[in-house]
Amino acid sequence: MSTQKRSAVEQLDALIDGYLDDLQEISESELLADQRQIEMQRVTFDKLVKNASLEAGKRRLAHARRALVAKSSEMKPLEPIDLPEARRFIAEAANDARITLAARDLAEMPDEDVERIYRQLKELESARAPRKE
Amino acid sequence: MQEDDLPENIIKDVLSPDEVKAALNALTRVDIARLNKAAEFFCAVNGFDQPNDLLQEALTRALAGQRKCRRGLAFVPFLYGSISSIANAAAKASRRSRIDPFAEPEDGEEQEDLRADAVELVDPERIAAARDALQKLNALFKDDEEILIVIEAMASGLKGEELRQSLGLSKTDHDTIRKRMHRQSEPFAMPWREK
Repeated sequence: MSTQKRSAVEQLDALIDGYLDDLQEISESELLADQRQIEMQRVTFDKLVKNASLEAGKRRLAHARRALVAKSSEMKPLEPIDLPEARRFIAEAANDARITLAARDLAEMPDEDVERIYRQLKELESARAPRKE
Repeated sequence: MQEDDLPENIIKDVLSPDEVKAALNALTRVDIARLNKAAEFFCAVNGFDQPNDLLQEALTRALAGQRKCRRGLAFVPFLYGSISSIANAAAKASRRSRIDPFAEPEDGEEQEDLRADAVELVDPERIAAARDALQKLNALFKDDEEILIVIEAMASGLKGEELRQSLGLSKTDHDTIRKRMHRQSEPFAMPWREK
């Protein structure tokens, strides 16, 4: 036996672990000794499963609704951007020592990459804005 | 380990709601008897008086997918884990507030249990709840010295054959003490049995 003093949480966890192991060791004959009780348990358990199924349905529906609301707020249309202005902005940013941009020819960069990088830089800029004060 | 470190297929390889239903339908009378005893025990430990509430909440979370059962994990021990988790959270919540000890977890909260073995967070409320639970058990069995000794050995991490050897108990002695433990926990389930 360990002589090290265990915390209350460790003691309780060990106790629960041991109890649940014991539970699996109980023989079927011991568990099924009281037939009347066993039948009652079956009936009660079936009711619990039925109630749980109804409640689970409600929770899944509520979860789906929350997910839908979250998705619709994510899908708000983004403000259109001016691509030439975005390329100019990115070119300036590439000269900023605080920002690391992969060396690429901006002229060859696909519009969607320009748009994505521009939005990221704008987000960075707005995140930094308060510090400029 | 962070959840992000776990391979995605480990998190996602869980039973679907239909598989959970099938697993529930496949439970035997012996499984149900064990689940009832576990619920009674956690009521005794955490001060609940309604084991059926505890069981129903565990079943609901499994069916709603709030607590996911990893494929390959035995279903009854999975439900033990859920009952334990709910009882533990409710015991902690009841120390903070009486508003709703069964408060539904936020989305994803139960996912954390998938890696419960990997991460151990001990907060002050959990420590206080554990102390309460140990005191309740000591009070429950205060008139049976043998049970208290066995409980103390279990709390120190001993179980099964190791526990019997440590205390010099035969399997029969141990079974007798264990039966008394279960019998003395039963009054906590009376409101449920009388329904």
